[in-house]
Amino acid sequence: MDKKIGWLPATCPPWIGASRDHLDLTERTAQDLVLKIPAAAWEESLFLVADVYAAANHVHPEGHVGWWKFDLDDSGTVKLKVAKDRHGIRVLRTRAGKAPSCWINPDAPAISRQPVLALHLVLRNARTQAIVFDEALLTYTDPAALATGLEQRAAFASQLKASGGAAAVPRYCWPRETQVHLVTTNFAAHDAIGKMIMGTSRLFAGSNVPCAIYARVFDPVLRGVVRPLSALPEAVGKDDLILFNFSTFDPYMEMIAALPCRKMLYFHNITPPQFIRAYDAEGALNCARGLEQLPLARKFDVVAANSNFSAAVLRDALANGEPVAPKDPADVPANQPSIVEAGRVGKACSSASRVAAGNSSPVLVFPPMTGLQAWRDLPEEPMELPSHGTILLYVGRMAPHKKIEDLLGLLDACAHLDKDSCLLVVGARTFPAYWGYIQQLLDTTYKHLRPNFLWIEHATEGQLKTIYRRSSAFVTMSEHEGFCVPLVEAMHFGKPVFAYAHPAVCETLGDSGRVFHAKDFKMIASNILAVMRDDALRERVLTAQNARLGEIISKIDGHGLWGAAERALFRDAHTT
Amino acid sequence: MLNLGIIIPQLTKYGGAERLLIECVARWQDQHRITLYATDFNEPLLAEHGIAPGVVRSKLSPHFHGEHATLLNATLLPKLWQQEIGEHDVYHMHLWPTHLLDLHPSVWYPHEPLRAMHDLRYNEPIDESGVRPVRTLHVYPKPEYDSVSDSLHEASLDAIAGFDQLGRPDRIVANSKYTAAYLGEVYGRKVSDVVYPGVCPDDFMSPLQDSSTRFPDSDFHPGFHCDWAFRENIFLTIGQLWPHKRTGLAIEAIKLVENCQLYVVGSGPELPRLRRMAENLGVADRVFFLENLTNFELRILFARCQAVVFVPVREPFGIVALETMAAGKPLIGADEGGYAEVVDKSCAFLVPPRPDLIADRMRLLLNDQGLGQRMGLAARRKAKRFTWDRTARELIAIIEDTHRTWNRARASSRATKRRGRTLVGVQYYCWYGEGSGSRHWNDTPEYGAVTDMPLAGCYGSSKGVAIEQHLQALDAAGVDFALLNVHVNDQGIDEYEWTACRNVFSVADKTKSKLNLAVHLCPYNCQKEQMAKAIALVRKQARASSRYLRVRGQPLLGLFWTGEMDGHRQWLRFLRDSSEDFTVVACSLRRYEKQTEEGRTFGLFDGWSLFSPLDLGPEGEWERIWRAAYRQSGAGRQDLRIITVSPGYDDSHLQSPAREKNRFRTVDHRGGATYRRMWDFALAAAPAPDLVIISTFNEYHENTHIEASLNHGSLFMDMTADFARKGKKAWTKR
Repeated sequence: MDKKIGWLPATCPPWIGASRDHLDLTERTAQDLVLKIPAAAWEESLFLVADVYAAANHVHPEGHVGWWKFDLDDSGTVKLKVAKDRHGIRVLRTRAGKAPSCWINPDAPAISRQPVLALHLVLRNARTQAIVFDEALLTYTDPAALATGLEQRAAFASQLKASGGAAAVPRYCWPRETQVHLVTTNFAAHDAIGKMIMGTSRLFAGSNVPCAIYARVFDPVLRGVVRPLSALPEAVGKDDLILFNFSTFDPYMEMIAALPCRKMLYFHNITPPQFIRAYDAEGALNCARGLEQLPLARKFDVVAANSNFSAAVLRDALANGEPVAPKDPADVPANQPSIVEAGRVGKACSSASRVAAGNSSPVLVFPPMTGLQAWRDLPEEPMELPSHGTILLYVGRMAPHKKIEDLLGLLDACAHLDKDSCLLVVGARTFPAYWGYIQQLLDTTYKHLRPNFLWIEHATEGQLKTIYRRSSAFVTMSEHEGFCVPLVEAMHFGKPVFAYAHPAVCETLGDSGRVFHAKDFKMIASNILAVMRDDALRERVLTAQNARLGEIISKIDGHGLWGAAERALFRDAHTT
Repeated sequence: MLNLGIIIPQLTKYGGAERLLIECVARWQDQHRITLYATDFNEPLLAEHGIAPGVVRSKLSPHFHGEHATLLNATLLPKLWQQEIGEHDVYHMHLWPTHLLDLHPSVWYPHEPLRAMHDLRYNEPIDESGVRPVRTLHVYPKPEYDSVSDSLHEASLDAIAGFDQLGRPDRIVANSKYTAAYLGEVYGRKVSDVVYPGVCPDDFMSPLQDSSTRFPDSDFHPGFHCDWAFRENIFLTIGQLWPHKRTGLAIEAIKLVENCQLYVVGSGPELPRLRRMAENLGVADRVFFLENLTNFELRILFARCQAVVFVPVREPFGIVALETMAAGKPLIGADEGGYAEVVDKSCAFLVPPRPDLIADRMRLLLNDQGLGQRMGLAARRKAKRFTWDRTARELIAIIEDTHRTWNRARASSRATKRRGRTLVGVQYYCWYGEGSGSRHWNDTPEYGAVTDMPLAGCYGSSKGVAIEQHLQALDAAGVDFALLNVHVNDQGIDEYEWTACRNVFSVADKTKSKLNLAVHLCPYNCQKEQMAKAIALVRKQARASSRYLRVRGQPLLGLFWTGEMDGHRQWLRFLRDSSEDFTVVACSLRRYEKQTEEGRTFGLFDGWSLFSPLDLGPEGEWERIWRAAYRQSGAGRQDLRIITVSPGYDDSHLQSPAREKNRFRTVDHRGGATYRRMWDFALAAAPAPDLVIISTFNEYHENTHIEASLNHGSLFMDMTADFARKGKKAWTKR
């Protein structure tokens, strides 16, 4: 009997299921590609556009080979052939019929010789022309590029299976037939959610539990190891467990919530949209719509969050069933335990974390798996860093709610007291406009701080290890966090932490580190330098941090996750 | 320093009109004493923009809501507000319908007329379901529509249109030449004052994209250079989301341009329709609606965008255009409205409001970044000419000029034009109730007993018919002015008398009487607070009425002076400070004593008159006493010479013990001989008096009245007419 569900709710937004993870035109001149478009997508008339462009240059028209538009019929399947000849790459329909309308760049032959191209598949609404779905498949024309891509994918796959850093897993009894499906909207290996997913994958792999990763947006090089979300309904069985990592709007969340299998939601928190709307309205809209989706958590067997702060946001949404307003940090109960062991969650959170409406399960709270143990064996890689002076380190995205401008204000105050102070920011510019604003500050208001400011957008893990080791202290002015993994990493590397007192940050730090409730840069700067110059004082700070780190480590070894998974699988057997 | 009263319906947001006012007040507050009047204030907003607590905030009655809200807000509300607004040197009103406040001198900055009544009359949205006969109306700054049933819609607008024309601000200032012409068309008067709104160029940050668009000689940050770059294809449109803002055109234009986004900043009733429109056009994934942004967020958006799209229907001015220029960004605007006067093709595309034409300009800018840079640079340079400093400076100059002109006009008003000519006036009592037995008509034996009565019967002082008769009689007798007696006690001003007093002003206006009027306050046992309020009411009346008697360039305030308060330095100083903008004339029971007066009344009075010269001494000494009094009557600061004449005196029927102290309670009228004797003295007086005051027109308790009565018929009115005529000849020669 086929145990797969293979079913979609009627309201599911359209998508394309592609028969290949990539196209290989290195040796052959053409390759077939079958696209399945689920029946739910046919509520409104759609058409398909296949757009081919150089993976290294998506700018239109100079990077584009061309586009081909295909009408859809009721079969739900489109069979294409991607072919290469002296005119360049072409996309054709395999069956005879009306020729697609298309546009072909006069430079198509040259662009088609690029080693890696992207085949961008777009579904558009025939009435409004609106894009309703899009994803890209890599098309290799060069054997070396293909080999590199496959190597990258294999390396990533091996990281998921590495057992050296796997946590000690309790000996639970796991149903033989049950697979785990790790789902996230956006997957990036080095961000907090990516690390959580990879850690989880290793955890289950270490216990021989079959596990796969699904995402809506991810690096197409990884396709095959990371699967497109469209593959989930076909892959999931009734006895399987979906672990949905929720951190932003996901158009398929309703579909996921409706799948008749065991489901667990882990809430990483969502950035309140007002922090980012001026820099990225699209991102802000996604955040707002994500918050509106929180009540869907009711449809999951187990709901968990990365902190009490995040749990409170989730509980409010579940209690109200309304779109969720961004949580005011001041509303979070101060006496919530920072880390709650999943096995004790029924007692520890019984009064505060019950899901209010329609589901009597509590919101479990356990920290994300940070993969701390992986640092131990990782070799340091060389980095050019300031050779002397106080290096203040911040690790995290260059995002508006992280308040990099306040870090510059702090650096300014520090530089007044110690001209050799410098700020090292390690993180990607996820908001170009915000990055531009920070650059403008560095060119104007804080022009004098340019020599004291160092920004590293991308660092390898080995480089990051070097950075952590060489820095003097960790600082954050962030005004919104769910858990803040870099705090734990900073503690791991024995760096005193100075942080703005956001509730989630306070929760992660416990009674350790130095938190401040007002952004009085002069005061904070004095405090930092006092700690840095007084060995005994710094030692006291680090001793407290180490104690706190010990507590956290004891909670991130997988106990929490395993307990939650067990609860999801055997929900009916639990009577807490 | 002016005492400036500023009225605006609401001061809760940083919208166009409110922004202009806030920016101006922030710049005026150190030079002038300012009181802001509004139905509601946003204190954090005022604080954010530096409006100090010293600027007084005074709340006005809130707007009406409900079906007839528009009509009530257009007609009744301004009248309520008028009662709530205090006394100021000059009034400055913003927005519609504050011009209906009958306060003067006044400068009205309407921003726009009520457009729903004119160019937008047939542009308000109508319920499209076709089943609900409701129409909507919008009156700025209300954030929502008023609903009016279809059957009342046209009638309401017509009624409002009628009221609209009643406003008579002394000066109207337009925010553009376009608006000036529009206002001229609506109100039938030429509007020649134009003050453009402004912008703060320093508030804007350098463009946040593409280093190739850096301003090489940037005035954002001199010497600014960077080597970082990124590009965002964002267009921005800003404005309240009302139909006439035509935000939908920008959305339709975006549909025609690939690879770009539109940020719609603003809120309003159109929002749901615009969202629906974006969905239907398939651009919901690249049209974003943002509400309630902070100023900082707006600056970020200006810095990010390629250009600003602003295509409203005949916008009166449109500060967004100036902001766009200050941000160094090109404008894609409609070729109509006020802002078209401040931009040109170097910095803006002004196009007919069509999506395809807007889209063309968008594409042009996307394809030629250098063009955007050049236009932005030109815009930025041009914006520097339109600063808030300039707006505030030009507007306050008009306000100050209006105040000066008003004062000059008042100073040369009818009374002052007769400078050098003697004016004849009467003491006029406003205290009678209607009918015998009512107040002051034999209501008490102590004070209210009368032994004569008017030929017209026991009239009520507040009644228009009686007032009209009195005014006609006084006009016929050649009387120039009346001093309206109003009492002030420990309860404050006598409200009945004050109402009657105001009615006299109104009836005089209505009947076009020649008479000038002034108020004569009679304080009894009142405290400073009550007296200050009473003087404030008189001041308001004096400012509001063009017939208020002005002497030596200032409104005349009579003060009944018994002498009991002589030497009370604090009380006298208080009175002097409270009435410094009046010509204060004492109507005294005692003579002016030149040698000792300074120590008794401390320079309070500008002129001195005797209320009752007949009871100063025995009949045989009258002329000597009157001469002596007249020699010294050049009292006070203004050197006014005043003679009082009276037909006789008799209060012997009043039973009040206080009256018994008077040695001369009965001074026989002698069939007019006493009155003639006094007039003869007045006619012969040299130098000629400035004022001759008849005491009284209608004080029946003491029988000093000259009004036609049962006992005397019209004898004294006839004599008055005769003597006034003779006197004006005789005094003119002197």
